[in-house]
Amino acid sequence: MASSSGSPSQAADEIRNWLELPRDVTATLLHKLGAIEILESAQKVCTTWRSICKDPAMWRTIDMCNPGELHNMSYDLQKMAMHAIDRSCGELIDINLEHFATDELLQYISERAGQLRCLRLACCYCISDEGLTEATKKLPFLEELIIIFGNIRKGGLENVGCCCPHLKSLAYNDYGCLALASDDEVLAIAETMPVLHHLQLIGNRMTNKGLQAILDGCLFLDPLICGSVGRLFLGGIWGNYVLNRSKICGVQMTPLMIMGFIQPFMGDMDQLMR
Amino acid sequence: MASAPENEKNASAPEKKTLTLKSMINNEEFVVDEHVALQSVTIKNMVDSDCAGDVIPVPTISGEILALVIEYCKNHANPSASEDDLKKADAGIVAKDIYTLIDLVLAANFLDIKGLLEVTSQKIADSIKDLPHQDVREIFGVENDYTPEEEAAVRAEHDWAFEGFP
Repeated sequence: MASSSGSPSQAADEIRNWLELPRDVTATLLHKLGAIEILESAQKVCTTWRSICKDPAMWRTIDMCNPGELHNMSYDLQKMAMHAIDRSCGELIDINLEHFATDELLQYISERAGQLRCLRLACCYCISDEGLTEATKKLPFLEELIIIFGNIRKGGLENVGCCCPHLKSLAYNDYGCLALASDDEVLAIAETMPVLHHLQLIGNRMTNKGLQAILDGCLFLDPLICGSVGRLFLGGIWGNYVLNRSKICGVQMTPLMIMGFIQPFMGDMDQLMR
Repeated sequence: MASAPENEKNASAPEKKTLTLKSMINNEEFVVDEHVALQSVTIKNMVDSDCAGDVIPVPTISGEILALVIEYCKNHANPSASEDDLKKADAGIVAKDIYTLIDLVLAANFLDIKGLLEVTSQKIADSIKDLPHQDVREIFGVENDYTPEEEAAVRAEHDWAFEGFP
């Protein structure tokens, strides 16, 4: 080990040329802050950061993650999201909206982000079947839709299936006794989304009828993740049928499922949200 | 078949190739196995194009930071490390103060080590999240180069702010 020259702090000063970091590395770091933090804080730091934050490439993925206490916020998340979408200049491909999104915002997205591949809606109770339908008519390239809590039902799902022929991944999750998916919703999925490769239904009121429709309608599933509140009976001949079919389409079976019941979703809420 | 163990012995017998990395900030030297050092794309390119001498000088990176980088590379060059082990080890490496992290991200960028760049920048982002921009400026040693007019223009853009809030 050679002796060090100069004091450590001096050495540190020499190497900490933060603004000399290549733009793309700074952009990667700032992007990790999420859209709200970028708009509220990062872009105010200096003009270099601001110019990075104005680059449409920064807004291909927009994460509007927030704690959900809308009444305690000093800003309007919907307006902020619109601003972020404007900055993407049509390059937006992936957006995460939590708590605040409305039909109006979905419409705004659909008119400006025709290339959108992934839409995540968490706790967006103001979005209606009609709103989702109108928006997805203009989002033909959508491949991934994640709905966690909300008011989307059969009609909305059916229309998504019809409007988005490339939809490969769907999560339709809820929790507790008011779970979203009943057989109606599950049948809509089975009938209109034949090319799904990934389906997650955590917290649902599906019965055997629904599960059979999914297994028959969606032949590419691998895996189907399914946590039910226990209306499924997988014993006897029907259980064998599901097991045999599951080998074909790769449904993940837990030991409990094989014994006769679908395992209820036992994870925590955070796991469901993320 | 009887000679198999001997073969194995022979295969592992050749001396492991090592490289010496030298911090040009404080002249500290580190001898590392070549396969560990090659986690760095910058070093790999040097070795591939025969530009690497016995000692590879690493400018702008202190010995302290270089030691962290090498620790990261060692962990990730170990084929028997599970994903979980690596996650824990990564978390240990980036459990540092913000200034060390900034040096580390600059080093990861210079040496072109994608994974290290990723975990370090995530950690920095996590630690400056929720800080007012004035504090961020101070931490990064960035000067406020906005003119008052420009600052006003940025504020004017913020039509998402509710009235009555600062």
